[in-house]
Amino acid sequence: MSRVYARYRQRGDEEESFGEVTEDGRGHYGRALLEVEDLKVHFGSHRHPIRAVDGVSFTVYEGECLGLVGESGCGKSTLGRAVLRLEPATAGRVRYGGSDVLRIEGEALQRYREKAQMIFQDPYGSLNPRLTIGGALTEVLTVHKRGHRRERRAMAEALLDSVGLDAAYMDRYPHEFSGGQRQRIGIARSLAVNPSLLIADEPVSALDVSVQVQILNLLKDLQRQHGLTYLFVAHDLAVVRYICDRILVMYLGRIVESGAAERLYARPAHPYTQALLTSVPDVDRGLQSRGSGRRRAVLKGDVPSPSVEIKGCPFHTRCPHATDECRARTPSLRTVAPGHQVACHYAERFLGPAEGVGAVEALGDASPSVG
Amino acid sequence: MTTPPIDNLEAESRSLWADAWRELKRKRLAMFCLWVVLIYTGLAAYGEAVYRWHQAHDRTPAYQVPDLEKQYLPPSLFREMEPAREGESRVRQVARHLGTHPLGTDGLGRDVFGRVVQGTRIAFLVGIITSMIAIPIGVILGCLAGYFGGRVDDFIVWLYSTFAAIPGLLFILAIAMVVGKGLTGVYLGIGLTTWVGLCRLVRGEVMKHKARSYVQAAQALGLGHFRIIFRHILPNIFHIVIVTFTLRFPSAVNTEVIMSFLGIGVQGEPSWGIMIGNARLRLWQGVWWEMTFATLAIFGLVLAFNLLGDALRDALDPRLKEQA
Repeated sequence: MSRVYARYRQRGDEEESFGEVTEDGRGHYGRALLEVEDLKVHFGSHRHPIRAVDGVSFTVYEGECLGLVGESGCGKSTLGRAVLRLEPATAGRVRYGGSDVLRIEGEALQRYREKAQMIFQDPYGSLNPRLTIGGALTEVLTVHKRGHRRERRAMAEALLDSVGLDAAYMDRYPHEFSGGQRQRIGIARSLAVNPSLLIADEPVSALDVSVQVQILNLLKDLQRQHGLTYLFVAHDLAVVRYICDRILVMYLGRIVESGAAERLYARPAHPYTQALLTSVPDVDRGLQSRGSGRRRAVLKGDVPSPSVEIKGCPFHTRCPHATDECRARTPSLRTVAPGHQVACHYAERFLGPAEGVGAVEALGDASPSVG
Repeated sequence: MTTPPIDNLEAESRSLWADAWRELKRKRLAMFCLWVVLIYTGLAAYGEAVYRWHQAHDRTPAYQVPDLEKQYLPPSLFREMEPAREGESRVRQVARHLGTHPLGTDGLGRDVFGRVVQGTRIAFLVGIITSMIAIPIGVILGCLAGYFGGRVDDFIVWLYSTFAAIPGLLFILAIAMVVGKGLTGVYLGIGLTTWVGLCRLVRGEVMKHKARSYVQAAQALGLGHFRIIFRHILPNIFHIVIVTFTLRFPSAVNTEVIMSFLGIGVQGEPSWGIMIGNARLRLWQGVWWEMTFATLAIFGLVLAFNLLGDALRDALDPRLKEQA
């Protein structure tokens, strides 16, 4: 699978210069679009909270595609939903356009919903089965007062056209479409309000692999046409690598590593990121290690329950390199290289030798020279 | 941009309701029951027309006029024809003959067929009007409780638990006593006590749908709460309302029959309950027809509605559709 994506990745790089990231890790991105500060989302009672998201801070820059990866249950979907106010946040701030969107209501919230939209994971469940495609699209236009009543149908047809669907299917019901087509409809519905930020919650994980590539390419095309910014939540590393410029790695509701996509894949500094990357099976070499010098790090045990507070580093229960220091002190996210942040006491040790050496090797077959 | 070939679409677009109707049409028993229900509806409409005509012309309808000469006529379609009245044409004579007591007469010589028809009319009035009271209450409260949760949910659950805790018939009797005997008491009594079951069902379904991603999508798109409840969630759970209607209709009719039998229901009009109440006096002496036809009328209506309700539940069940 990774070979397929590698080929698309190459093609994508030729077409556009979006993938290029400069040393400071921000590339040519514009200003900060969305700033999340110390966001916490706790469920359950106050005395025994389940810490789904536990103090997360990051910035989404205009025009980039920021990937959010992690195992299931690490809080990445909850984080995306909290940013969109679909889940009440327990604490923290989410700044968008100068205001804290966690504290706005009424008209201001409605304006924010026009700016930030969501693409859902399940293309079967995210469309109302009793509404026609045209009905669903025109409803969004009506609620947000876009266009005149008579123009809205034409606007909806244009939206369908922009996601590669025939406008003749306006009066069809969702159950008459395939998964990939429904996901296109979902994307068209999100675009109806002209958003700047799209939070994609595992938008392709429910689709066939061949359809995944089509949807990812559609997202890329739309990003270029409309100047969209993506927060791309996923667990499939190949997908993230294909579409994202920058990546955040989440573990147990916290960010453990962040950096430019290419750098993170080449030189992961956090043991958890390393384990994630080496766990991706390779069709050509089976479950062998992907890099020449790196052994496959198999994590033992499961993700601890987010309802139990862990003293020290949240990853120490499964980390093969954990020391007493890890059990005693919680590492904070610190910069180890320009644009590369890691929450690990021993990040420099895991970062390996100097730049360049081994980096291409670690890329494995996804590197153009090997592929 | 790649446009995938769209070949899985049939020539004609169908909504889920159309699908359900097609499903229902395939079932012969369900279609038979639907016809039975339609015939009852026709009888009720005919009864209403007769009732209205007599009211408008300020006359007592034939099924109310005692005629002691015709006491206890047994049912027969081939009774000896009455002689033609003066100036009456042959056609009118035959028509009059056909309309006379095919189901016999009761102790006061009143036409049993006419009274069964009026009973059907009362039954439909009760079934429809109590549904118009109970279903909106159940649906609206259920939607509010399921969607908003929290305090709203607590209050509504408390409310229907309180209602459910009172023995049903006692509560109906109490309401009927307050507003006085008669149809109004029947409507209010049954209507105000039978929304609890539907409310529970709707609340549970709304809670389930609220977690579904199409509702989340609607919230993310900034649609209003009431638009989400009534335009998005309600059409998806409306099959529950339809099935509940077909199943509660006969039970409302039954309750009305019991109330009329006990003498606190319909007053001065022939309901099935009143007919059964009257007929039991002479049943010993072999006057079987009034009791039999009133009971058969109830039996047929209840059976047809229940079978139709079951078939509707199967046809409308969204779980079967989602897999496809």
